Amino acid sequence: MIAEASSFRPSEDPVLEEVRGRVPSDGSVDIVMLSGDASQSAVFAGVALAPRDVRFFSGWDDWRARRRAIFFRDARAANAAEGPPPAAATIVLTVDGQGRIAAPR
Amino acid sequence: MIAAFLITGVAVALIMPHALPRFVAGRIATLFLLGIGANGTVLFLLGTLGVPLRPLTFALIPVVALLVAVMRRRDVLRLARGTRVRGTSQEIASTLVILLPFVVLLWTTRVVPLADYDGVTLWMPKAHAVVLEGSIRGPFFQGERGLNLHNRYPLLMPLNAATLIALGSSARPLFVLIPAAMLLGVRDLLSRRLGRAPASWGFAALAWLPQIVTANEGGASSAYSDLALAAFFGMAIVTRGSPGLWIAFLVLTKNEGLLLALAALLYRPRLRDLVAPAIAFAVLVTWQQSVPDAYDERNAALLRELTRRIAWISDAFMAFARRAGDLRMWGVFWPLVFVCTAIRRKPLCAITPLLAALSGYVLMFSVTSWNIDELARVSADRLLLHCVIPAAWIVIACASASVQPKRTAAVCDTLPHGDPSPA
Repeated sequence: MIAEASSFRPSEDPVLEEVRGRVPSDGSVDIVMLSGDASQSAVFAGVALAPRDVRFFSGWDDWRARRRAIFFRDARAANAAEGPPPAAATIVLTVDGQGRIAAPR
Repeated sequence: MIAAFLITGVAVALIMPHALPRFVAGRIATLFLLGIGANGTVLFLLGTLGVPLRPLTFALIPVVALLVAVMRRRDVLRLARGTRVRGTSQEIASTLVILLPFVVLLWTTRVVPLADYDGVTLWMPKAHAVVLEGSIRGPFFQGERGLNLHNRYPLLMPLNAATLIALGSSARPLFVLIPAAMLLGVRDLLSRRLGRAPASWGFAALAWLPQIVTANEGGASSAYSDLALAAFFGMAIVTRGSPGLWIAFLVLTKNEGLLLALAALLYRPRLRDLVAPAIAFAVLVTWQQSVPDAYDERNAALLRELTRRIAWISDAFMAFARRAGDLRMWGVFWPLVFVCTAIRRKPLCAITPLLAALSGYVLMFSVTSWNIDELARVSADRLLLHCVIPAAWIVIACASASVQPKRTAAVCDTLPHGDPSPA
C-alpha cells in the first residue's frame, strides 16, 4: 500500500460532513489533489464519501482535462485503467498536502 | 450473527469430515474458522457465477447449513458427544489467557474507529461495495464508482465482512475473533504431539504478541486479511486430516495465499489435496478476468526479472531479518525460532512450509518495484505474521523436547500424514 495509516480523520472533517449532507449517495464528487502528498489524505476522504462516485485528479490542469489521477506509477505493475473522461461532478473538493479539505465552488 | 459462521462450520465438518480437536474450546474455534472459510468461498463462487449477493443470499448460507445439521442430527450428536467439555486446569487457564486480550479488543473495537490503512481504504470499501451493489462485478469493481485500490485482490474476507454488514451487524468482531480461534484451534490440534502443557502455555504466550494484539497495521483490531491468512495457513499445516479446504481458503484470501498454498502443498504433496485449491484457483482467475486490474501487482512480470535482481536477495533477507528482530512488535519470538531451528538435531516438520513461505517472500521482495526497506517497513511484519503458527510450532516443539525428551520423536518427526483421527 501507499504508506502507513494517515493521522487524517475524515469522520471528523466538517467539509466532508457537509458534503455528505449535500450530495446524495448516487451523486458524484471530484477531488482535486493540490500536491503529490495530498494523495495520502485524499484516499481517506474518498472512502469517507462512499458510496458516492468519487474521482481523483492530480491538480487543476488534469481536472480541466478530465484526466483521472494515477496513484502509483510503475511500468512493471498495473496502474488503474484510465477509462473514459468522467462527466461533471455534483461537487468539487480540493485536498492539500496537509490534508486540508476545501470546497472551492 | 457471528454464530452463523459456527453453524456453517458444523455443516462443512459434517459434509467433509475434518480432523477436529476434542477439547471444546479448540473444537469450536476450528469449526468457526472452517465456517469463515466456507462462507467466503461459497459467496465467492456464487458472485463469480453472477448470483446476486443480497441479504437473502447471505442469510441463506447459514440457513442451509442449519438444515444440513438438522438432517444429519445423529452426526451432530456424535460430534457433540465426542467433544471433551471438561478441560485440565492447564487447558482452562491457557484458554483464559488466550481469550483475555481478544475480549478486551471486542470491547475497544466497539468504541474506537477503524484506523488502519488497508482496512479503511481497501478491504472495508470492498465489503461495503458488495453489500451496496449485490455483486463482486458491479460498478465499484469495474472502476466506475470511487477508488478501488488493488481491484483484483481476492475477496474471501470482504465477503465475510459483507455478510455481517448485510445482516445488520458490525464486521469488526470477526477480525478480533479470528486470531483467538486460530490459537485455540491450533493449540488443541497440536496438544497431543507437543504435550498438553507446552502447547497450552506456548500458544497462550503467542496470544500476547504485539503484532497480533496491538499492531495498528495487521493486528486484531484492524481489518486486514493477514490474520485470516495466518489462521488458514496454520490450520493447513497442523491438521491431521486433509488440508485441501484450508489451502483453498488461502488461495481466496490474499494474493500471498497462493505462495502459502504452494508451501503447504510442498509440505504434504498429495494429489487429492489439490482438488479444492484447484477449484478455488479457477474461481479466483475467472472472477479476476471479469474485472479490470487497478493497482494490482503483476507478480509474474516481476518474477521474470529475478535473474537480473538476484543480487538483491541479500538486501531483501536483511530487510526481513531487521523486522523479525524488532522487539517492540515481536519480542524475542523470531530470534527464538532461529535458535530452536539451529539447535535441533533432527529435522522439524514445520520447517519445510516455514522456509518455503519465507523464501518466497524474500524472492518477491528482491524483485519489487519499490524500495526494499520501504516495502519491508509497511509489509514485512504482516508477512511474518502469516508464518507465525509453523514458527511457534518449532519453538514449542523445541521446548517440549527439552522438558520431555521421550516426546522428541513424536513431536514432529513422525507426523502422521492423512491420519484423520482427532487430536
